This record gives sequence, C-alpha cells and structure tokens, in this order.
Amino acid sequence: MKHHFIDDFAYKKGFLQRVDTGLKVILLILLLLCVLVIPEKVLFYIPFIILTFLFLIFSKIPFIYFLKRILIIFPFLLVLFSLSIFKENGLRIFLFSFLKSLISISFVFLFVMTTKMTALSEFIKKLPAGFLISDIFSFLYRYFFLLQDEFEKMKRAMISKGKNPKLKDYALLSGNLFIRSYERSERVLKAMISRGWKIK
Amino acid sequence: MENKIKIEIKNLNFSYDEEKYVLKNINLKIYENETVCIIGENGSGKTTLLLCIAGLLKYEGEVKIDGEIFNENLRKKMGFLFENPDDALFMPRVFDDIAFGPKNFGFEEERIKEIVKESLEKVGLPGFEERVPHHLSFGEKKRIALASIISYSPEILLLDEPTLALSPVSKENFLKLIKSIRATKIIATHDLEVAVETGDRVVLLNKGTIKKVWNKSEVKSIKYLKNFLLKEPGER
Amino acid sequence: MHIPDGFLDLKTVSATNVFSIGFLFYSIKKITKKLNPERIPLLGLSCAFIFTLEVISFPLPGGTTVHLSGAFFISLILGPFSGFFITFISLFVQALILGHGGILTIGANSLNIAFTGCVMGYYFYKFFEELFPSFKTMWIFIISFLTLITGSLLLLIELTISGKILFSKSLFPVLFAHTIAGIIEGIFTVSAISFLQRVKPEILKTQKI
Repeated sequence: MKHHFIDDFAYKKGFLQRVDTGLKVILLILLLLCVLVIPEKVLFYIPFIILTFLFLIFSKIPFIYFLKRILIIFPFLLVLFSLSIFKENGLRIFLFSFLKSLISISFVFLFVMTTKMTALSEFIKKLPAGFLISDIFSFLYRYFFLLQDEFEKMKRAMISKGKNPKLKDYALLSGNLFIRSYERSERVLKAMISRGWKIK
Repeated sequence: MENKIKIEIKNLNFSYDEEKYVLKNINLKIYENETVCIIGENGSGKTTLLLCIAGLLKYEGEVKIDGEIFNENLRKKMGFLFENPDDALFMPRVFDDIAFGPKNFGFEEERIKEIVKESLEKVGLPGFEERVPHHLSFGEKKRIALASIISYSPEILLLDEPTLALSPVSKENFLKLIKSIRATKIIATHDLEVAVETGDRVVLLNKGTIKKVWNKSEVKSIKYLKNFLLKEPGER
Repeated sequence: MHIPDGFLDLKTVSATNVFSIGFLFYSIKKITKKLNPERIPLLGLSCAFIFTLEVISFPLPGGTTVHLSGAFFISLILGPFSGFFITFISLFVQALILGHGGILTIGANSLNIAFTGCVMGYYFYKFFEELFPSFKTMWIFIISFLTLITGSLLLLIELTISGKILFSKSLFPVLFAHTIAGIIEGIFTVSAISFLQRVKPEILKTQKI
C-alpha cells in the first residue's frame, strides 16, 4: 500500500534542510510561543505569514502540497467554530485563534517536512531520559505503516468474505492487530538479542 | 575440511509447556564450514531448533559451539536470519539496522561506516544506507536483513526459510549469495530445491525428532527427496 | 478530540504542560526502574498499535466517522505508566506528522486523553474490580465510557479558561458527542479485551507498570 512519508522533502537540498536539528527544534518552539502570545491585531500576524512563505520558497516545498497537508485541521476547527459563536465577540475570537492555529501548524509542518526522522530521533536521544523516548519513537516510525497495512489487509479479507465490518468487528480486528504486534515484539526482541543487544 | 566439529548438539529437548515436546532427543554434530539443511513439515520444529542453537530459547540438554556451552560471548559468532525480514529490520533506516550488530559488539565508529558499505555491496545493494526499510521490496528487505548479519562476520549462519516468498529470480540470486558466504551454515527450509542445491548434508526433522540424515552423495535429486517424504509414514 | 495550537492561552498551555511533561518523566522513571529487555520492543510495537488505532477512522451510521482512543485498553494490558508514556508519544507524533492536535497543546491533549484514559482509568478499574470482582466486563465498559466523558469535560474547562468558549452553552453538545464516542469506546474495549482473553490470555498477564 502506498504511504506518504512526511519527511520526503527532508532529502531535498533547501534552506531549512541544512539547519541543525537541535537549532530547528528551539526555533520551532520559540516561534510557536510567539504565535501563542501575540495580541489579537491583524498587523502582528503579517510578519509570521510572510515568514512562512519565505521558508516555503527557500526550502523548496511545493505550495499546493503544503496547503493540502495543513487542511487536515479543518474538521476540528469546524467544531470549535460552532462552539465559540455562542460567546460574545465569539466570531472574532475564533478567527484570531484560527489564524494562530494555521500559522502554528504551518511552522510544525515546515519543521517536520525538512527534518529527517532519524535526525530527530538522534536529537531526542540527547535529551534527559531520551534513550527510551527515542527507542520508542524509532519503533513507532518503523512499524506504524506496517500495522496500518496489516489492519487494511485484515479488513479486506473480512469484506471479501462478505462481512461488512461493524463496531464489534473493528474491535476484533484491533484485538487481532494487537496480538500480531505483541508477537512481532517477541520476534523483534530475538532479532535484537541475537545481534548482541543488551539493556543499558 | 570437515574435521573440526563446530556445533555439537547432545540430547536436546525443548517444550513450550511441560507436556508437549517440540524437540525430542536431538543429537547432531555439525562440522566447520559445512552447510546443513533441515527439512520437514510446518511445525516439525525446524525454527525452534535454530532458535535453541542461537541461544534464544531455554532448553534441556547441551549445545556446544567450538566446545563451549552457550554464553553471551558466543552471540558474536552467530548470525540469525529470520523468516520475516520485517522482524529483523527494526530500525528506521537501513544504515542503523546494519550497524546495529557491529555497534553492540563493540566495533569502532569509523570502522562501522566502512562495514555497512561493504555489507551492502556484498548483498548487491550499494548505496542503500539512507533508505527506509518500509519502502523496500520483499527481496531487498531480505538482502538487507542478510547484510545486517554478515556485517559482524559471524562464523555460523542460521538461516530460517531464506527463500520463502521470494520470486524465482530473487530466490536464485539469494541462494547464490548465501553460497558465496564462507561460514558454517544451518538452513531450515521446506524448499527441497534449496536442500539439494546447497546442503552438504540434509536432515529430516519430523515431529521434533531427527528421522534421517543424508550425505550429499545420497541426495541425488529433488525427486528422490520428494518420493521419500511421500512414503514416510506419519508425515501427513 | 485533539486541541490544535492556537486555541489555548499561555497560562493553560503552561499549566497543562508542566503537569503532563512532569508526569511523563515520572512515568519514565517508573518504567526504567525495573526494565526488562522484552519491554522495549513491546512498548515500541504497542505505541505503533495505539497510533494505528487512533489513525483509523471507522464509519458510523449516518455518514460520520469516529476514531477510537484505545488509551484505557492499552493501560489494561501494559499498566498505567507505560500506557501514559506510549499514548503521550503517539499523541506527540500525531501532532508532528499528521497535524492531529498541536505541539504546545500536547500537555492539554495528553491530560485529556492519556492521563484520564491510562492512569485514571486504570486505577479506577483496579479499585472497582477488587470491590466487585464479578462484574469485570461491566466495569471495563463503564470506566471506558467515563474516561472519555472526563476527557471531554477537561477539554471544555481548558477552552473556557482560555476564553474561547462559553462553558454553559458548550456543555450539552460536547457531552452529547462524547456520550456516543464513550459508548463506542466502551463496546470496543470490552470486545477487544474479551477477544484477547479468548485467543491469547497470556497477553493480559503482561507485567503492569
């Protein structure tokens, strides 16, 4: 099954791709904090929007592709929109939050698209208590596509046998997927041990 | 060539629960640089036997490698190729997977880079360091899994179903590759072609016991093996 | 429901992050204290599993879709701290690569989903299971349901404190939506656990940290 790896663009040669991962993490958090605290005046938002575009251009990320990826936040925004209009001045508050959200997610995706996941994992390893986090992160990155594929295959098998999966069937498929993950973890452990792995 | 005993298995028994034995009273001597193929039905205990030799399961009896009972230092001497390469390639990047063994066995940082490069060249996939295992084809994954083992030059290769689910062409190439590596090899397979082509000796395992051992000269053809298996009582 | 960046103000973000990241380190300490080798691949694969579960959405009658949380489910198998730890990482990576939730709101989201689901859910379950051991299935269902309701209330409180919504006006629609989601989650957890019990009961005997 085809999957889009979000760090595909990390292998291109652009501006953000060259910046050190640790520096990028700090930059990202600072930018997100700035966006969080800026007051609700349109003027303040313009520099951030310009910055996003500059980053996009210099990091060679196609705009349309980028737009498609950030559209993902809209369902949640719809819910928040319907909740916030009850409040006095709600529309205004919502619109500014929306803008903040959009800029934040642009920065996050800019970061993720220009950073190799392995470089990120290396960076996490240096943090306090980072070895466990980076190990789990590596496993997650390695296996979640595989598990998604396994789930889809099981679902297809079920449908091909003439059963349209309902909630309970999803529970069975998920239970099955967990058993497979569990058994795979046992085999992976053997593979690790056979290649000399010991717990630190 | 076949004088020095590399692996000696004495009265090996193994059971997952107390009652049912998966392996019963296995006795086998394997000589240096010999290739032994273990054939048998599904569930006959082939994989379990390999796991026992590799010290990945707790068993009753004795397995000696170079005269030593299993200990952690022996891990470096053995490379285990798992049936499913997705289990053996657990790192996000091919480089880390191949470097995993050498790193754990204390190779030097600079040497590891060379080793990874060499191993990838040996399996015919040069320049794959930065690739993501999930993106590779099954055959490529299998080769990378092999590279991740030969990277620390083990003296013994334990290969579990090396040709399973490979296309005929990849299978041919993979067998050639395995043959080209100099090591003591134990291959568990139910592909008789593999057994006939690569095995110096062929061992038939049935329900956890060794039924028969052939020498290379005795195994004339796939047909011979097939006929024997069909006649063997209790096989099916 | 994962809160994206931009919908919480500075004080809410700070408070929730201090709590959640503090608890994350506490969990890591608990996990590494008696870490068995087999635990690391198990946590890794379980994390991939939780991630997959939260990514798959399945259809409801009427054209809408819903996705499961699985936080309570995983804590029943691996224990509260391991559950919190991997759910936190799964939430973080979702925010990072899929845009579900935000980076600065990770504290709030992991409080609403991971803490309620794994830690609160696990200890409530243990308490009631010991009190009335004969109604295990019922407790799993009820607590599964309650973890989602608690999560949704926390979500409302966080958004209200941040000045984005009116609590009184939002309470009913949010509770209504989460009641449905909670019932679904409850049925899911009960069926999945009983499936494991039937097919591979030794999984449920995994060490719980």
